[in-house]
Amino acid sequence: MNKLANDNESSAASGVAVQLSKVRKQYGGAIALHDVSLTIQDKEFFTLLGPSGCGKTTLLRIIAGFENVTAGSVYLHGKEIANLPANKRPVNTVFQQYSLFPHMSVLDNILFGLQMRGTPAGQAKKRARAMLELVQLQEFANRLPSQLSGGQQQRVALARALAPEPEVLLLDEPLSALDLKLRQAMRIELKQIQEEAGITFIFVTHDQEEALTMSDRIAVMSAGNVQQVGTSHDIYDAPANRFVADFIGESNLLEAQVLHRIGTEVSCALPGGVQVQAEISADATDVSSGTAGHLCIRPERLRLSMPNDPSLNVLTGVVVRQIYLGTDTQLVVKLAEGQVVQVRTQNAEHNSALPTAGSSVDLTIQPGGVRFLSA
Amino acid sequence: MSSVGERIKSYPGFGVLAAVCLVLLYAPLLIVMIYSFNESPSITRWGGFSLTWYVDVFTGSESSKFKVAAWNSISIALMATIGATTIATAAAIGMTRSGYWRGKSLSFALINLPIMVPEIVTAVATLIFFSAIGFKTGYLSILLAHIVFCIPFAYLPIAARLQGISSSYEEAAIDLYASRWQAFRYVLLPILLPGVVSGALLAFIVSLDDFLITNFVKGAGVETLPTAIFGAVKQGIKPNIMAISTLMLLVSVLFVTVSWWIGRVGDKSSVVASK
Repeated sequence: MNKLANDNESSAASGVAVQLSKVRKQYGGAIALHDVSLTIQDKEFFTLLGPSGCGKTTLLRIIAGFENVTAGSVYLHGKEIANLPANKRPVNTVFQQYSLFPHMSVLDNILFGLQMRGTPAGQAKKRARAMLELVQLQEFANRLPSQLSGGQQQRVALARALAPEPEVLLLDEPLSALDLKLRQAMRIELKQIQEEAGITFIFVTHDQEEALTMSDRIAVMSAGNVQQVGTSHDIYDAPANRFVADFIGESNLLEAQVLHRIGTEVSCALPGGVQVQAEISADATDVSSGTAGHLCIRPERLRLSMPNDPSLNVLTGVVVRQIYLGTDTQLVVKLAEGQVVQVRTQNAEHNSALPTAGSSVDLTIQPGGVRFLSA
Repeated sequence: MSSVGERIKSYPGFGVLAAVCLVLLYAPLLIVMIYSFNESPSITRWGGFSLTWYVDVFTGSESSKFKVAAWNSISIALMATIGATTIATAAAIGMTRSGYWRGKSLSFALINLPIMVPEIVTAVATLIFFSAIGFKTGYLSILLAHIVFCIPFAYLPIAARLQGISSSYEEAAIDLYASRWQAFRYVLLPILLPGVVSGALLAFIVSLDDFLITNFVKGAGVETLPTAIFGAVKQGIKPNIMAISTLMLLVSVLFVTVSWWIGRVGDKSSVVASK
């Protein structure tokens, strides 16, 4: 019985593509990564998300082998690779500027990795053609990279990195050089290619929308630390701390103090005395009555309600400004307690009925729409 | 850009100043070129158009001396170019691909100092060095001296081009399983090539027409074209010297033009476009 459990465990361990264990990176006195530990599953689309300078690119370069770790271990499918040089790692990278070899044709670019690996010529050609087909650039095989558009260069970079069948594909902000429309189209395409190729993608971006739309799981990073790891839903709906709440999407952060806690529910008081029921993460064990922190409410979770609605979680205030955004209208509301919150309503119908600047409004927080963050 | 150019053109005296500069720079060359076609053996009196002196260069009484000297010049220039360009390429890669280290700017200065040091100082120092270590002066001492003083001339265009090449190309090659040598050979070198060719052509020209250092370290009996011309001039200027000078000028102009053209084509090539 015990043995069987162990077997299950080891087979689960083989489902891990990349494991980082207390990875630390220091440049002189400056610490770029503080003992980062992450587990990335096989065939997962995993995103490292954070503002510039948060260490996400450094982490990617450590996995690729371009940077050494100061301390800690990196495992690829269970094998320690921290001391393996980049050209010995079965990991390929799509670079931010693509870095296609300018003197080689598209086909030669894609063949490069296969040739360096010593793949027999016939087999390499076949593989390269298949990659061109995957990214739908068959007719561009003999062009030079400079003769392609940005989006096409991006696809060649992807095909080139996928051709040698890496165990993990690393993507360093590959969409940032494209214009908005193309970027949006490429998001869906990238995800499709990842599913078709059936390999692990580790994707670095500072664009939260990109991260939310493509990723199976996201690690939000800041200042060399991983702030939270979770699915798009986890990260948006249940941010672990103020940084994540603020960085991902828009949020209203209101100072509050815990009155009492029952499991994952807390009653909080705003500075003006208004009481709000909020949810809290089960592992926030340090939160009890008296803890000070912030309430996080997404703008779309606030709903305009009839004045004097007797239900709980109602805030009152005055509309300061109405901002028309096309699909939505945003209201800036100054609460009775003095804080300013953003409210978002969809422009599905009768937006003429929206309160204008100066009118008093009651705001109901939708069930599950407010979380208490102690950090 | 164009507005600044327009303004300079409209400054008072611009035309006169430009004309004076051009005359000072090119009138002597022009005179040498014209008189190389002079029929008469005088170097000051025009006796009609003729190619006599060009024929004289290749068949006249001094032709065998000039042939040996020309061969020495060309063979030394070729080998000095190969040696200096190889060293300069290695130095440029070392300097631009190594990040920051202590003494980096000092090293940069050391590589380029020979351009700034008065040539006569280098010439004397080289001669003293050779005699101090007991090295016999001759063909080999000229070659060694040329390799050394050509390095900075080859280095500058190579380093300039290398600085414009993102190191991510080599990273991409290594990421795709290339060894460091393969990354250099198949990726960096082809992209760098216009700079290498530019540097090599410059080194070739500098070596080909060097007089001062060569004259100090050549020893007795070995002549290059510039020292042979100088020797001939000491016995009186004959128009055949003008013919040789014109031929050398032609070779120099050709090389510099090719160097400039390759540099330009290189700049326009895809490295910039794919940025």
